[in-house]
Amino acid sequence: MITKDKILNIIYNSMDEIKDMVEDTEGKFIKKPETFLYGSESVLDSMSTVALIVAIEQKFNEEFDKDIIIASEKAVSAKNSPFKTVSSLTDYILEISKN
Amino acid sequence: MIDNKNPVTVITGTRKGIGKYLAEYYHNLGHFVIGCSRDQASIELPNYEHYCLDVSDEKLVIKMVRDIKLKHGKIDNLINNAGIASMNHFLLTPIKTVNNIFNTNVVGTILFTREVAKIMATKKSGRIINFSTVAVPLNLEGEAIYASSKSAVVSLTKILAKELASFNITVNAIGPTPISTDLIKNVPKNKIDELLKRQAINRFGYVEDVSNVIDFFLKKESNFITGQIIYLGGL
Repeated sequence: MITKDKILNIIYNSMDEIKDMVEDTEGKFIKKPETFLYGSESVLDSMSTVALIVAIEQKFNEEFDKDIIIASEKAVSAKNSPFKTVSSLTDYILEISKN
Repeated sequence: MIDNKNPVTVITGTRKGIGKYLAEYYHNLGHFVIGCSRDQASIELPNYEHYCLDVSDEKLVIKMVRDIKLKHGKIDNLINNAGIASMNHFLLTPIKTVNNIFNTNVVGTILFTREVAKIMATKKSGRIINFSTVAVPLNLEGEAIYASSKSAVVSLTKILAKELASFNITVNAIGPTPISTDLIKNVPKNKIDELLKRQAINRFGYVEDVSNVIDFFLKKESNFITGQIIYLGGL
């Protein structure tokens, strides 16, 4: 069963996987729900953002045997980006995984 | 998972023509080849797997690529060969033909590249080869839609080369001249002759001319070659 905790865990594991790509001199890239992943307060650049999304999609597929595309048109054009924080991304993935 | 020390190469459109030749050619060079086409496989080789799908079907492409990742753990090379052509005066071109050509030639290339590049990105390595055509630089009459779709492939190749460079993925394209395959079987002989005259070397291309260029793009030493379009025949 797909749960919020399992998705959070997938995001944390994906953050671990890409951490070498991230220039995080101030120690902001921490595994907690409030961490910013997108926007001016995020330490991720475009490449590490892509790598994080790819890692999450793959881990989601491996864990639940279900394909998701996180970067949908809706997500990219949304006023409040679902990628903003770990918490908002968790909620967003939970929502799209129901479809 | 299969322990593949040899390259894993995905080739689209492997049931016939250049795609079938390339699948057999790279298989014989020791690659594990995974092909696809709308119809059943026409190749039976020990290290060949086939998927039946339409290359513009997003769900099936995603499933195929994820399946390969689970079985093989990696994809080294992607050859976006699947393509369809149609020669017609622009004023007499049905929109269904336009949609079919763009779906296979452009959407198919985009989908496979997007999904396979995700796998390549995690390994920080990969080679992607796209198919354009000499109809693009020659601006051939009667091929407005086909050439437009292949122009899109040229732009994709050049831009994706930049976007994927930081993942150590190269993206290049080959632009073949007419080669005797099903793709040009309905093109009138005088049109083909006119076309061949516009090449520096006035002959049909051979499938070996195609694999020669792809061999170059796939070479380990070609890691500084990206965003390039090599046209056969001298244009």
